Amino acid sequence: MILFFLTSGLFLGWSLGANDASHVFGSAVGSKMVTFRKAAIVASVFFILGAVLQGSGTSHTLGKLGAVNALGGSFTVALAAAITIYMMTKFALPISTTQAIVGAIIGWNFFTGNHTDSKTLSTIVSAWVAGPVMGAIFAVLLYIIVKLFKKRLRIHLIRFESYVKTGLIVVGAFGSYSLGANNIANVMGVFLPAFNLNDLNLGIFTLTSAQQLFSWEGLQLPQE
Amino acid sequence: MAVFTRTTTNLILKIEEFFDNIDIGLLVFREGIRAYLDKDMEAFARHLQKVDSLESNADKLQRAIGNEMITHSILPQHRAEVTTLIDHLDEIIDALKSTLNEICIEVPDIPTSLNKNFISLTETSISSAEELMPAARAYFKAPYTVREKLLKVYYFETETDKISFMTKKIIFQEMKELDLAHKAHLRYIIHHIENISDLAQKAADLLSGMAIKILM
Repeated sequence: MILFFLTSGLFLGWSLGANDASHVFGSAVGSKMVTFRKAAIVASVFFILGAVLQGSGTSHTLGKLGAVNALGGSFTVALAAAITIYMMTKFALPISTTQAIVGAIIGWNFFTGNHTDSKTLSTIVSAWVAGPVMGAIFAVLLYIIVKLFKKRLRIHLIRFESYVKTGLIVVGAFGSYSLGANNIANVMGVFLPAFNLNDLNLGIFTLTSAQQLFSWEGLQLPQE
Repeated sequence: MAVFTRTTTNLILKIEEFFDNIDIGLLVFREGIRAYLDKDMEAFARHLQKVDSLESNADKLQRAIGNEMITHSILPQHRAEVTTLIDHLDEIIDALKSTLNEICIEVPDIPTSLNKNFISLTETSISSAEELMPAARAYFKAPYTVREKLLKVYYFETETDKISFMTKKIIFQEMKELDLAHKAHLRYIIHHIENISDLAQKAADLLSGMAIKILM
């Protein structure tokens, strides 16, 4: 039964993969600088690492938004978000998974009469505003720095391109790690309060209930 | 990653070697024409052979550069232009070889009074192509300097046209002792030498556009 309830999380993970995987390597693959195969492998590995090692932070923030503490509730919230993302992706509209899952949690809170924490909501919404602004600032700064370096160092165009290719893979790996760490909460965060597994001792390290959940979902996310 | 770095270095070396071939080809061509005008046929044959081997090597390098760029997906956004530029530069060394070959086969009788004009024509036409080479090299390292380097290419091309015009005028209007076939033959050789600067200008036009595009 638990596995059935988790299927909506897997569906959401699938939709998230279809929608978000292109954000990290889209331009690199589109410009033919990195092959799709290489991008898919790097994205998969680092997404899982990010989800397992650092995914819990954002899960706590999302968890504060409302109490989805029953497995059936988690299933419904994840399914609602998954259908939203799936529909949007079907119409070729890039959508924020965070927005979909936040909307689904607020909807669940309305349905069950639970309180929506407005402070947490405003924190999340302010991140939506700050995100594009910070992205734009970093893009401009990095562009200026790279342009200056290129002009000063007089690097051969072909050598510069090889550096860019390596950089795209490194940045893509970092981006995938961040995407895994940030988005795993959107997918599995709602399941955390309602899901409890025994710690899994692998000899070198031990996986907690949340990490097991994130690992499982991490395997699902980059497949698209 | 080491394999990738080696590919990059190899490709850069091949492009540099290709440019070197054109540069040396231009120098040898100049010496070849001088040798012909000095009636030193032994030196002329030696220079012709050298240009022939440089042209053959340039063709091999051109194919290798094109293949490596496609195989390793290098410069996907500028690949078409770079290969076209290399093709245009290869046309220059092809023209050097064919001009010397034509002279070797047809053995044009160039009056001694025209030696100065032919040397001047060759010097200016070759200078136009020689000025193109630093611009072509700069495209890869400092594209913002390409346009200023190309100014001399256009200058020497215009000068070549003027010298060509003057020489043809002398041949057809002042040298009454030459028959029409002889005059037409000299004009044909002049066209061949003049063509080098025209090819340099064609490559310069392409390079100019490429430099603007890469800076955008």
